[in-house]
Amino acid sequence: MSAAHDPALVSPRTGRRWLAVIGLETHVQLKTRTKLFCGCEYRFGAEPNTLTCALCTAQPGALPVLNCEALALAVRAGLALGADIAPLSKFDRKHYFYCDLPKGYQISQYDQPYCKGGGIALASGRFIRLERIHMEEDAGKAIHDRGASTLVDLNRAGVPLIEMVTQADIQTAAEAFEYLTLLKERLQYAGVSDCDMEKGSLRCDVNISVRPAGEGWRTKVEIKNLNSFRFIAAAIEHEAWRQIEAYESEDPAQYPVQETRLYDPERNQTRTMRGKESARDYRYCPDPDLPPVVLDASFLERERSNLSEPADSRRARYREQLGLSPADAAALTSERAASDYFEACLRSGIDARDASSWIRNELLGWVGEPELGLRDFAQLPISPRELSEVLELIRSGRIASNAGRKLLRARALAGPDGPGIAALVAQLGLEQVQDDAQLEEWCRAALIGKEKIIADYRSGKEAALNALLGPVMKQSGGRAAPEKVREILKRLLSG
Amino acid sequence: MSAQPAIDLVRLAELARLSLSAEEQAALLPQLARILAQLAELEAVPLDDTPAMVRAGASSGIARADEPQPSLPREALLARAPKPEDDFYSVPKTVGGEG
Amino acid sequence: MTLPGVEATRARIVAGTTSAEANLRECLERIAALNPKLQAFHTVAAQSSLARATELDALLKSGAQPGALHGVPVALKSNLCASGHETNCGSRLLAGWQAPYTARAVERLLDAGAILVGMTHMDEFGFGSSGENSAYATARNPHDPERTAGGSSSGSAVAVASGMVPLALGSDTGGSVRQPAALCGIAGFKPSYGRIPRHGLVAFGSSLDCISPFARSVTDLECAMEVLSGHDALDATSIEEPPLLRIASEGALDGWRIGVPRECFDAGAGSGLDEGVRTALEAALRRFEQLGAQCVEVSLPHLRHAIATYYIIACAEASSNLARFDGVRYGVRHTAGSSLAAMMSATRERGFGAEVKRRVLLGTFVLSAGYHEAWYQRAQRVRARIAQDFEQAFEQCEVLVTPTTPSTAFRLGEKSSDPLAMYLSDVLTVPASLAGIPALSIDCGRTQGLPVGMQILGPARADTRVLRAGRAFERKNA
Repeated sequence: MSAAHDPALVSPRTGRRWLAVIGLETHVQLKTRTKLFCGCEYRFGAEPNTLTCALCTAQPGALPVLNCEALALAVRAGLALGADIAPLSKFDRKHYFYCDLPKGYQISQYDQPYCKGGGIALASGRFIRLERIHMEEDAGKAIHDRGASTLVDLNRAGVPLIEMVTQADIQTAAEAFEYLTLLKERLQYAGVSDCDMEKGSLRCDVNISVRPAGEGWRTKVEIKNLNSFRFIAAAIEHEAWRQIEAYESEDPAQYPVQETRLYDPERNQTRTMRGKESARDYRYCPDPDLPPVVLDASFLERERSNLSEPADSRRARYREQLGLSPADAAALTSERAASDYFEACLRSGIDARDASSWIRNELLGWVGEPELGLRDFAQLPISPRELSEVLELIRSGRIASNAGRKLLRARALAGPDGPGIAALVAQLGLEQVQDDAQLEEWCRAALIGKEKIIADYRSGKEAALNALLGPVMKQSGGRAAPEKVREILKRLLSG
Repeated sequence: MSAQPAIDLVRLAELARLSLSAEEQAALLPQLARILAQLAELEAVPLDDTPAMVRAGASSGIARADEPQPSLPREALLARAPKPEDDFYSVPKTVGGEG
Repeated sequence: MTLPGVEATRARIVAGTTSAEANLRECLERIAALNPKLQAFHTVAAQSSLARATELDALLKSGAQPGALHGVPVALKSNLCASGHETNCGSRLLAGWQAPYTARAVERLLDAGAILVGMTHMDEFGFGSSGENSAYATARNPHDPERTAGGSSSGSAVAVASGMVPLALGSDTGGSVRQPAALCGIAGFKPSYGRIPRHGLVAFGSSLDCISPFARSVTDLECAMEVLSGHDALDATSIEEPPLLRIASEGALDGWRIGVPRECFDAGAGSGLDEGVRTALEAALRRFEQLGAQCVEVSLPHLRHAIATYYIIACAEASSNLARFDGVRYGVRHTAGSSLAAMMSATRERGFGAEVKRRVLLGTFVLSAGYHEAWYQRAQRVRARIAQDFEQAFEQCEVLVTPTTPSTAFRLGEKSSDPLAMYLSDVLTVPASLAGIPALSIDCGRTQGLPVGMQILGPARADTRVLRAGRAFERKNA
């Protein structure tokens, strides 16, 4: 999707020009080992209610204690988004009753969030401003589609989140899509979050209203239940037109009302959320159990130094300084771990093009292969030094280049504690056979019964040699040095 | 703050999740009004720019390292639940929003 | 009544004069004899405590170093979590509930060799000053069973005052340990906020709650504080200091200035100070002078706003803290209709008593949109003023002395129909809670046969100073 130059939606019926006013509220899960206020681990997909303790099930008397790492990651997210980190912030209680909210309140930040401002520049040059970022704990999960009751799983209760709220700066579905793509990349590069919508580690709600060009803002609608960036764009598109048609009906009873709507991706439409209550009153109050959060300069400095170069800057450098193609640069930066790996390869002296081609053509494709069991690139057990060793073996002719691939896969399969490259070369017998006597023996054997091919060659068909090469390689188990085999065959045939 | 605050008891009870009976409401309303009228005396305290005091003492902000601690056994927690179902807590059917 | 206290009990067991088991059996006998009338305990863990006593005796025989509370029987208020014991908070909603973990303070007692004897009656969730708001039973004053033992830590006070146990834990949010200690004629100490970790104390007003011990002497309280106090990583509001250590005992208070806040003795301050209480306090002040101290008059100008400030903040926090009692994860569930909201409302409606509902509604009101700033936030600002008053007063004196309560134990039923009158009786204890400063209540005599309590207050974190003044007074008085 590319951002349209003219953001206006022109009504096909009336020809009127409408503008959408869009703000996004994005929650991402911080990549900590434990929850925000207790020592329970969190793993997506774990057995229900196995990752809970007295605190996250709100047993009376249990008290929250802030996870330092969650705070550090939250701060890093703010820095990565160019926001201002508040030296003093606090946690508040947001009260409402629901079965997945164990304490009857959510610990969040209300009037003193830890972070304000910042934002993301789109390719068009337009800047999407962030209003604020705050920390909060996640709720558990209510499951409605199993049996006669609603079931509650509290594994997720207390998982650390940050919520990033944009100003209503977004004008089109395409801009929303681009903002989210860049936001996700920025947060992944900062090491803050996996931002995996399928696992719920990134969630996004949309606030949207429409107005005729040149007029003031109108009633905004919130859309929830958005499971992918594509659906978010589709929901925005659909909702904007729904609102336009509602206004153009000229029937005030049809006009949009302030409400929360759910997106149904199967029908590509939004509908009013059921069971809407009277206006909410969250009765915010400072959480007396948690002292204010004081961030000193040294803490900020440390997190600033933990920030890596963002993806867009890396891409530009790969293209401009290393001469890689835009496609290669994009592929290498598609994942922070892959890009970090590439950088490490450069540091261990591997040529940029070699490194790029091996990473792009081989290593990246291995992620997700069941045989190798790599969940993500970061789990790849091959060190850049090992890759460099393999490339050197190929360059010096000690192994064939397809043996290099075999070797690296074997290394990946062996896992982090597996044998090194040299050991694997020996173990797999990958070293090329250079011994003339051995090679000649294989060649002579290959010539037996191949009179037709021999005749072809001798009559001047150079290509016939290839038909002999194959059996030699086969007999040698792929280890015969092909150039030498060629030479020997030529010598034998010319004799 | 006023000496005669308007108390919307129905709304308060809804917010606090208390299904008060009519008799209870009738008894509570004057009690709450009387108590609030007494508490309303703070309105007259001159405060200038005194900031709010949330808690006593100035703990410098104790935080915890990101190290996993054992969770509690599911059976132990579900055994305390009024209506466990399989491996879950169960409640009357509700869909979305704030029940 | 010459029952051994904490120190003496331990000393006798360690010296072999008695055994932990024999001593515990005496306590259990006393409980069996007195509890039906005084209603201190709702659960007495006879079997498990005897097993533990036997274990401790064996341990001592094996040559192990005895803990600071070796063999000392203790009672717990029912809002403290102790694995295997019923922490019902005096509420129907939590009938039979046992915490899946043990409070840090309780763990410390047990690690020091104490024996957990049982759980005591209390006003529901700590909401009350007479014990009458318990859903189970009202503890009775050992000095006159027709009178209140005070509240909300009623049962724990009675257990100590009647000699059932030498040591008990309560919790003090606005006076819930000091007031019953005063009315029952024993010692109760609310330490500085955060001195004893709150982990495992069922929250009432989180910014005010303090686990607080009862004993029959200040020396015994000091013993307990050595074990109970000290920073804990599971409570982010706990003071980052090591446990309190007793300082070398000195009888005299030469050069000390005892601050006497005029507002606490003025009849006009709304405290309705009884003549008998005033007389006892004036005698106590003279005794301080005999110890070498000098009495100075000080002023706490915002003291008269403490009740309103306290009730707004405590109710706001209580309404928040009690939101977790929704019938989903624990407690007694009631259903009505078919919705989740109806289930939660019915559970809370039928599980909570009248005073709990009143306070939850008050708290909800002061936090709700449109009232939040004028009520809740304003109260927090007045709270800061009250704390400032104390800071200024402590520039002129080492400790402050006031009565603990305006009157002695009132008759049961006398105030139970008038919640406001009950609230007003906390006038002398809530200020220290708001300021988070240490406050000790000790017995300072009798009027018409009933105990009068004296309160000694010190600056924040000066817990040792307060206890030292109390100990000096106690020696002089003995």
